[in-house]
Amino acid sequence: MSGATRNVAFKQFQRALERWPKDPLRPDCQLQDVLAKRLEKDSILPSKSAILSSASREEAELKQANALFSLLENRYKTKYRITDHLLKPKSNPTYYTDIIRELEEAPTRSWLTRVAKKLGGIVRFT
Amino acid sequence: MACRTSCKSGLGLLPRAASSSSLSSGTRVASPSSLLRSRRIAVATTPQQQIRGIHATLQCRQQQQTDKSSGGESSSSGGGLSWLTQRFKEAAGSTAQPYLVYRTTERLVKACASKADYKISSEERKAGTVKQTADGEEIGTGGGMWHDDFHLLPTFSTWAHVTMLHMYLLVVRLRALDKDAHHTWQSQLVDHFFHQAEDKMDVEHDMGSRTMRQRYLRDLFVQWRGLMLAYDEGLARGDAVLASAVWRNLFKARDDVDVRVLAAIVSWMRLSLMRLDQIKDEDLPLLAEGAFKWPAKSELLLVDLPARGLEGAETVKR
Repeated sequence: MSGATRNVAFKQFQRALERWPKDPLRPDCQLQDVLAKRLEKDSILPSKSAILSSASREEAELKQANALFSLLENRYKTKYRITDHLLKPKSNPTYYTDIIRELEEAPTRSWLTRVAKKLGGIVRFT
Repeated sequence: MACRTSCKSGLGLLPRAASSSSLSSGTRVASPSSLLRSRRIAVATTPQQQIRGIHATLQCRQQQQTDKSSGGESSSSGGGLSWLTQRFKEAAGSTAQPYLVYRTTERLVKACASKADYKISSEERKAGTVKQTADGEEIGTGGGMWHDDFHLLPTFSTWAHVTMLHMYLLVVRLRALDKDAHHTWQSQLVDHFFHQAEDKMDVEHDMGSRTMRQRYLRDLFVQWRGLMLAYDEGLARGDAVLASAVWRNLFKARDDVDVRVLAAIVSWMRLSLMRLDQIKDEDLPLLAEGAFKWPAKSELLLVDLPARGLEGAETVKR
């Protein structure tokens, strides 16, 4: 029984990590890669957690997988909604859309475009 | 009467741009002698200086009342005093006052910095027995939620990142001010933080060399800019991206991170932003600190609620 639950926790953890969004800007530093290493080890709990009985260990492992799913389903974004007052701020209404656009374009830029942008960014008119 | 002349000349010095037209009707060009008499009234060119320029004796108020009534202003029913209170309200409501901004941002940064504060005892320093991490960072003694519940070591970088996390949430709120006010508030906030960071390096870590402090401050600045970008991306994109950003910055991309703690911090960030969203601009100086009253560890209850995608969810006890 306990083995089955542990397998469930491991499987859920793995499923959640597969669904985790890939970050093209930081290819070497991805949370899902680091967490996936735990699947090869004995436990998916962080190493600093206290020594628990087997039942509470399974529960703790399931809670870790549950936390991953809660983040994937944007639970906190929908529960604690932020209005356009902050998302389209008065000082710069397109701030967040500009940032997302820049972040999407950045990995696809050529070396020359990057140099041109760096030089252009040195001069500031405002 | 001296007061009447000085008041009129004082009013003449106040800018017409921000205020009602009634002022211009009662004024005349200030002569040098009247300027000498009205020394207390500064040459008002900005809204801030207008406050100092308001000469508030009873005679002046009465004078203003007669000026106003002769100027034909019809807005108030309370007489000359309401003009004064109206101006004070405008001044107090204007979030671009430099002194208020300076004091408030200093207080806010102190509040943010107290969350993960730590100390290195002077006895340890003298004996040379200060504990260090594998990377050579000095570990002090701290307490509170961030160190005890979230298992972060009481080091300078933990303190800096926890403070910058709180400051980031304030910065998101400050972006909703108009452009000049936002610039003033944010630059003052960041200045205070870097002053405190340098102070911490000097006092706790005995870093007497200014060059070394400047080098670390430059690194810290790069971290601050990177952190703002990463958290903004997380805010715009979603909880998973925000959690990754918190992991990379606050937890320094370490292997043994507790995912429940990451989720609790993400939840707390969004809750604090929601609370900051609800504070009006003029209430920010008083109420901004209160947005952080709810501790992040209380969000663990919300984190442990069964998620939709989780099978075998009935075994997750609340």
